[in-house]
Amino acid sequence: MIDQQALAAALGQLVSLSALKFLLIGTIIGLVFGVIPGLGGTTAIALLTPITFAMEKYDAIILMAGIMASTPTSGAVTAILINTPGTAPNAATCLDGYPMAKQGKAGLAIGASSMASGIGGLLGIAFLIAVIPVTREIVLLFKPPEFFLLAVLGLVSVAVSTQDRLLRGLIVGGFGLLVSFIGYESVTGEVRYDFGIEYLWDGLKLVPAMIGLFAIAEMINLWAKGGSIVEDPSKQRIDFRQVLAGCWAPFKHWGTTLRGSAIGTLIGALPGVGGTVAAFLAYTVAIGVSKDPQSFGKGNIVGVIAPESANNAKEGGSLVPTLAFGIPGSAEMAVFLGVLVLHGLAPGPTIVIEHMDIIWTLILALTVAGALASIITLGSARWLAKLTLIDSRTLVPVVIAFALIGSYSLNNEILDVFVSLGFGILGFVFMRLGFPRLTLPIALVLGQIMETSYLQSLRIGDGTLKIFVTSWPSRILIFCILLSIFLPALKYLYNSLRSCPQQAKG
Amino acid sequence: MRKLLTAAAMPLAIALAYAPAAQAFPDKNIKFLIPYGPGGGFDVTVRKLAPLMENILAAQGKKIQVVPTNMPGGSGRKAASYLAKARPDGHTIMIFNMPGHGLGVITGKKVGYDFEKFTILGRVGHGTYVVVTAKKSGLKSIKDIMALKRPIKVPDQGPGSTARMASLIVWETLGVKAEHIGGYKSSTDYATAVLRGDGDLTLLAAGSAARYNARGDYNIVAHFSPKPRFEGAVNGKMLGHPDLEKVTLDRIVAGPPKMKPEVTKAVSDLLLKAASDKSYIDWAEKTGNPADPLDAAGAKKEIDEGFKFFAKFKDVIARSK
Repeated sequence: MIDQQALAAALGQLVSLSALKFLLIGTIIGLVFGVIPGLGGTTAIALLTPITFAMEKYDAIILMAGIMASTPTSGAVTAILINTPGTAPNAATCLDGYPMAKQGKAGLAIGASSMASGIGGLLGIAFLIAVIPVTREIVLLFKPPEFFLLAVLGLVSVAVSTQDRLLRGLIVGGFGLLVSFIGYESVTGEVRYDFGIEYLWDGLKLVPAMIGLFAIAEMINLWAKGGSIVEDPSKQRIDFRQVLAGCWAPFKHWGTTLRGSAIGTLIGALPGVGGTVAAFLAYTVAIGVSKDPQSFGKGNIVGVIAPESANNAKEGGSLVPTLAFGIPGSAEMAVFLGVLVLHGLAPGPTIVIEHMDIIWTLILALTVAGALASIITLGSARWLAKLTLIDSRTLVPVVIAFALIGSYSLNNEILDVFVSLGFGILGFVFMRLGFPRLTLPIALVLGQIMETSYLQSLRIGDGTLKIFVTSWPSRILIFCILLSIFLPALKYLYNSLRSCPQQAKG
Repeated sequence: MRKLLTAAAMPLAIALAYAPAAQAFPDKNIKFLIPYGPGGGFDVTVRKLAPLMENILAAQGKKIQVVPTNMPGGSGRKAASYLAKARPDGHTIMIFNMPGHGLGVITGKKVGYDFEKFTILGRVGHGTYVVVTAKKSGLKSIKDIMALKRPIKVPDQGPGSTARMASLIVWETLGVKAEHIGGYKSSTDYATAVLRGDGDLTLLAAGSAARYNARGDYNIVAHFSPKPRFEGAVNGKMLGHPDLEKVTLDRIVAGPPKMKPEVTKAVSDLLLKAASDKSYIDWAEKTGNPADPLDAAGAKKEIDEGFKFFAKFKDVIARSK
């Protein structure tokens, strides 16, 4: 049941001038951090934590909510314009967003992604409000075996998203899995493949690898090709009408928007899985239900709407484990909980009992900031899209400089910069050989989840594999995995059978 | 002649370059290392202490910043390795998780640094452990746990973590066979794991346990403290093993090896004053991890006693996977 007193108190907090000021500041900071590859909501919150000391706790929460809600929105902008996800969850947006930009439809893609983000964010919050009474049950439903199966489902979905280059996608994914096993294995405490290098104890980090794989590789490619991102600048139409048409697309494809949001909130509710998996799953499902799956990866607007609605909806979902047990549902949420502790609020189940007004403040601030971020991004889309017309000789050095600064500033670690450069070259080689790069980062993320949850499951189940099929959520997940693998084949078979009689007639 | 002059000027230049190091502490900003990422208990402890330390220095007319610096990696080993190589001038210090960071000393395993060489500066947090079971598990006491006819399952963060060491010692002492399930990210994570049935029980910091149990989901069956705070919970003495009260978790601050005594004293005094500030004490109490501050000598004594005790379980800890 909704605590109306707490809700009223939170509303009171949010409508004050000071709160709105901090909400706007947080949203703008979040948008800036989201656009720069490597920096994201987590970095922004960690950097701003010291300045919240002098602030009222509500103002601090509102500032942080502004950041959390806006980074995924602007992270899509670079994914669309320069094939470089601003934050990890925007990776799936590259698949169709960038081809759209190359076709001169950047404004359309940004319009669609911003609106889908806004709607996804709102639906995520709506879902959160609906499930507040059962948050604990949802979190307790997922144990290590279910996490393992979910990671497998994520991997399968990525393989499917590579479409006609399935084998190459699997090779890159397999390579990603191998890389994900470098370093500390958290269940047994063993360190593998570190070659005595201290840096490798924690494995190769996702963000520097992604910066290299996308931003640097894309810039090397653009440099080699010359010209601008838009293949034929005469086709580029940068007007507000294009952006508005993009805004309308998530409503036109309402089924995709709703599905993406539902997947985003559900995955967000599972601690540790994150928006990257949510976005890829939403993308794969969009392909699965599409009548024209071949158009994906070539600039289908549905391929932008699905992941963007999912990765913003996950913000609401990621509050589920936080509300239930104080477990952060995402990396941003983990740092945010630290901010709460600094303000004397201990996260955990007690926060829902003692400080529901704070939770409501956060929920409302996330809602308003999400909408605000979409409006700001839409307003600036026209100018942002001009980036695709800049000549490579100007664009490449600037993007590479920003990318490397982003890579370094994440942990103030120079070796991260080398990782970015190494993956940049690898990414360029992949591009030239026609290997899909996107399966690598997702395998990096999921490899760790898979390994940890697999080993935990075996220990829980006394070494038997039976543990993976004992619960109903496990069985549903196994069904989804099988469906993901066989659905494309079944669809192909169905279409072949359907076309056979027609050919016979012809 | 020119070469000769250059050669003669070199030692002077080097001496001038290093002159600031000889000045009184502090003469530049202090880097306060946190061996984990932002948001955790160690991170917020340092972030709470840093402004208090700055205020104390400001009152002495020194405008010095204390900069909390997260250096996560290798379960806290990366930052410790970095500290071992830092200049021993008091401007780089680090918060340690004890006994987790003492794994190398206790087991003789190579961890990339020698904890005993660090300069201990003080203690800023001290906690005790409790054993919790899920209420629905039916395990209401240590007796129930000991009566189980199978090894108990204990979810935790993994080998080398402070909670794993504590758990190994407790169950070894009580003669209960325990199988650990590592890989959980934080105490919140493995407390929830117990609730959903991943394992039978776990060890939690007493302060956090009180918070997690706000809804009464857990049975707190033991509290290893001379004065157990929880109704129905037994302590080491009641179990016939008073030594179990030595299983604690401390937040220790240390500097690089070979710090000069006057610098050690200056940093230790600064830390003790900050950690004794009422706002810090109250905040620490509220978050469930009492401050219980100690100066350098007091902290060193506690650590040495702890190591002596943990050494008895060296083999059990070293074997754990």
